[in-house]
Amino acid sequence: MKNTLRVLRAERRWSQAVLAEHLDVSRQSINAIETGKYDPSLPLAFAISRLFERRIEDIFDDQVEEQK
Amino acid sequence: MSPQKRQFMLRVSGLFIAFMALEWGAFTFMPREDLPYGLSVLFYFVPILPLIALFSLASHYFRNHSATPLSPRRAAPVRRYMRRLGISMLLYAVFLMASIVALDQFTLSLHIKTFLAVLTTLPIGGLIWAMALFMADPDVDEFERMILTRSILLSTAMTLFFTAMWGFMENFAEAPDFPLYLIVPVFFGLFGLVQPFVRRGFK
Repeated sequence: MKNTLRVLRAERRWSQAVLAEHLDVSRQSINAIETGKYDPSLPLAFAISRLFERRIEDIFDDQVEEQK
Repeated sequence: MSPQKRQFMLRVSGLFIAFMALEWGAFTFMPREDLPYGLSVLFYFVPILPLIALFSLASHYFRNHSATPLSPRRAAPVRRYMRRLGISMLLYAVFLMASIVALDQFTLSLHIKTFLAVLTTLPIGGLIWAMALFMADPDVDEFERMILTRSILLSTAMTLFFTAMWGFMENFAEAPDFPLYLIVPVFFGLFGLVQPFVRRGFK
C-alpha cells in the first residue's frame, strides 16, 4: 500500500532504525512498509498514526478513490 | 551485542552443532550397504541439513541485530524458543543414542522396539511444538512472523513435492530407499534455504 511514512520519517530526521525503535518493530518491517511491499497490521497502523499524530488515511493510501 | 547475548548465542550454536555431530555419528554407524559408496556418503549428509537453518537464522540475526538489538519484549519469545529447541534437541540426542545402544545390545520384544521408536520421535514433536508456540506468540514481530510463515509454507510445499517425487522414483525407477524420518532434516534444511529468498521479496 502506498504511504507517506518515508516523508514523515524524513521530516523528523529519523533513520529507519530510530523509527523501528519507537514502534518496537524490526528495521526490516519499516523498510518493507515504506517500499509498499508489506501492509502493517491494524494495531501497528494505529501505533504509526499515534506516533506521527496523523489519521491513518492521511498516512496510508489504498488508491481506491483513483480506481473509480 | 551484549556479552550475555553473545554468550547465549554461542551456547545455543554450540549445543546445536554438538547435536548435529552426534546425529551424524549415529547415522554413520548405520551404513547403507544397498547403495554405491558415493550415494551412501550423500545420505550421511541429510541428517545435518538443519545446519543450513541455523546458519541462515544466525547470519540474519548478526547482520540485522548486532547494531540494533531486539527490545526486551521482542527478545523474550526468541529466548523461550531457543530454550525449548535446546531441550528438545538434547532429549532427542539422548533418546536416539539410548535406543541405538539398546537395539544393538539387547534382544527386545516388538512392543519395546515400538516404544523406543515412538520415544525417539517425541522430541521431534517438541521441536514442532516449540515452533508453533513461537509463531503464536503475540510478542513476535509481525513482519518477522510473516517471513517465517511464508518460509514454512514454501519449505513444506517443497518437502511434499520432493518426497512424492522420490516415492515415484522408488516405485518406477529403482531409486534408493529414502527413510521417512529423514524428511524432518530435509524440511529444516529447506526452511533455512528459502528464508533469504523470502526476505529478498520484501526489500
